Amino acid sequence: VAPVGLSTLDRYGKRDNPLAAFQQQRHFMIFLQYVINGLIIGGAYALIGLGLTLVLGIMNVVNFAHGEMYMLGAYFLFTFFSMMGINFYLSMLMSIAAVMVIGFLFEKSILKPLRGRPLDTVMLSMIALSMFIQNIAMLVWSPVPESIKSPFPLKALTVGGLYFLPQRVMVIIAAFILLIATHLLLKTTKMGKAMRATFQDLEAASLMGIKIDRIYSFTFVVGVGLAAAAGTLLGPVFTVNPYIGNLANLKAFAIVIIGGLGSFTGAVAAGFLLGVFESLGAGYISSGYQDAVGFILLIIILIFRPTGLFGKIGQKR
Amino acid sequence: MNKNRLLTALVLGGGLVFPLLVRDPYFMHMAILIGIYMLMAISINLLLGYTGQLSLGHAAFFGVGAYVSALVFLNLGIPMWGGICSAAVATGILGFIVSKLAFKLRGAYFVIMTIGIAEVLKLVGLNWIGLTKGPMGLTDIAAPIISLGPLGQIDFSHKMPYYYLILIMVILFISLQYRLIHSSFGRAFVSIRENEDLAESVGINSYKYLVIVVVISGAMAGVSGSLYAHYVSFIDPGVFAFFLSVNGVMMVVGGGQGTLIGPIVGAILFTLIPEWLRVFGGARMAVYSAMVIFIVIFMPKGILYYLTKILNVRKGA
Repeated sequence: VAPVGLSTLDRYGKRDNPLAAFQQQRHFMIFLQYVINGLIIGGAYALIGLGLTLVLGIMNVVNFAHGEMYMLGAYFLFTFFSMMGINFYLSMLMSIAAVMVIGFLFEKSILKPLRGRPLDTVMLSMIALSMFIQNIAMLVWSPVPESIKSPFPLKALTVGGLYFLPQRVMVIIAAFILLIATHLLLKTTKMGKAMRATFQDLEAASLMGIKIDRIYSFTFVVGVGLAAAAGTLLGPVFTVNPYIGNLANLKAFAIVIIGGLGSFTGAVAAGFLLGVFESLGAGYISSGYQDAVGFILLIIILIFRPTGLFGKIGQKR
Repeated sequence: MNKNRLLTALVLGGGLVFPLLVRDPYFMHMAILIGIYMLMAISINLLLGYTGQLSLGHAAFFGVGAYVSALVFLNLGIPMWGGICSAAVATGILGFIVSKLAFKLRGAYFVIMTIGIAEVLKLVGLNWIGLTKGPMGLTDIAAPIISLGPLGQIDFSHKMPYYYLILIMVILFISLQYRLIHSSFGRAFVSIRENEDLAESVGINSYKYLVIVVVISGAMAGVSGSLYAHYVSFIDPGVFAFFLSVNGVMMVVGGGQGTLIGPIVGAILFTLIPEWLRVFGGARMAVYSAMVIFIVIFMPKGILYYLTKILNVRKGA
C-alpha cells in the first residue's frame, strides 16, 4: 500500500497530482546530484587509472604498489599540512614531489634489476613491495585513521538546486589541470614523443637512440606522481589509513581493463565512468556494494567487449 | 630413482610419526594449518606451475569452499564429508564460470580479473547478511564424529585425527596431481605453458584445457577451504583475503613451481616464516615482505632448486 500523498499516479492512472510532479523533479535532481558527485570522485579515479596505464603500457609492469603511492600522497599531505602547518597548496606539491622521489628510488632499486624477467616475477615483487610500504606506513603513522581537515569552507555552494562542496570542486579542477598537463606532456614534448614511441615498439625506439632506461624511470615517476596527486585530492574528502591503497589499487586495475588495454583515453574515460557508476550504485542499490561496482562493470565489459571500451579489436595481451 | 623413493618414504614416515613425537598443541595446530595450505598450494601449482597462468584470486575458491561447506552443515545438517563434496562441486562450477570469462584475456589482465572476482565475492560475503551473517561470520561449524561400533569412535574435533585426515588428503592431492600431469592432459597443460600459439598449431584447444585446469584447481582449493572451515569451526569474509591468494602463490613460487615437491616445501616455509618473524613485533610484515622481494628477485626457481644446487656443489668438491 502506497502512503497517502506519495503515489505518483492517481486512481485513474493520470498524472494530475501536483505533488507527484514535484516528487519527480526531486528524484531527477537527486539523480543529477549523484552523477555530479560521481564525476568529481571520477576525476581522481581518472588520475589513478591514467598513472597505472602509463606504467603498464610503457613498462609492461603491473604496479601493485600504485595504490600505496596514492596512500603515501595522502599521508604526506597529512604530515605537511595537518601536522606541520605548511600552506595547503604547497603541501600538495611537496607531497607529490616526495612520492615521485620514492617512486624513482623503487624504480632504480627493484624494477631495474627485474627488467626482462617474467611478468609473474615482477608482479609478485610489486605485491611484496606494496605490502612493505603499507607496513612501513603503519609503523610511521600508526594504523589509526587520520582525517585531513579541509582548508576550504564546509558550506556547500548551491547552483540551480545542486550542491557543490568547495573541497570537491577543487578536486575536479585540479584533476582536469593534471589530466591536460599529462596530455600535453605526452603529445607535445620530446619526452612524451619518446614515451609513446617506446609504448608502440620498444626495440624500434631503442634503435632510434631513445634511452629506454631513462624513459622507464621518467614514466614510473610520472605514473606514481599521478597516483600521489589523487591521494592529496581525495585525502581531505575521505579519511586516511595505511590500507586505503588496497581499494585504490583494485579500482585502478578495473579502470585499466574497462578503458581498454593500454589506452590512455580509455583510462581517463573509465575513471569518470567508474566514479559515476559507483555513486549511482551506492545511491540506488547499496553502499555496501559500492566498491564492487568497478568489477561488476569489468565483468560486463569482458562479456561484451573483452578489449575494453577503447581497446583495439583483435588485440590480445 | 631409488634415492627419490627413499626420500619419499622418509618424508611420509616423518609425516606419520610427527603427532606421536610432538604432543604440543601449538605445533599440532601449525602442522594442520600447513597441511591445509599444502592443499591450496597444490591447487595453485596445477594452474601456475603446469599451465603458466598466474591466479591471484585463489582465495575466491578457498572462501567459497569454506562458506558452502559451512552453510550446508549449519542449514541442512550435512556433515563435513558431504560438505567437502558440495564445496568441490560449487567451486568447480565457479571455476568453470570464472575461466570462461577470464581466459578471454591473458597475462596481466587475467591476473587482475582473478583478483577482482575474489574481491567481489568478499563483498558478497560481507554484505549478504541474511546468508553469511556478514562480518560477524559463521560459528559452530563442527567436525564430524565417526562411530566404529564397539571399538569406540573417532572424534575429528580433536587435533590428532584431524591431522591424519589432512595427511591423507595431502597424499591424495599429490597423487591426483601426479596422475594428471603424467596423462595426456598434463602434456597439453605444459605445452600451453611453454608456447600457447605452438600448442594451438598442433591442435591443442588451449581455451578448453585452461577451463578444465581451472575447474580442477578450483575444486581442489574449495576442498581445502572446506577442511579449513571444519577445522577452525569459525569463518568470516577474511577467507577471501587477497593475502591468502598471494601467500598461496608465494608457497608455489618460493618452493618451486611446476614440481611435485615444491608446493609442499613452500607451504611449510611460508606458514612457518611469518610465525618465526613474530620476534620483530610490529615490523613483522615489513620484514616478511622485504624477504619475499629478495626471494622473488634472487631465487626465481624456488628455494628447493638452490638448496639442491648448493648440496650438489658440495658433493662435487
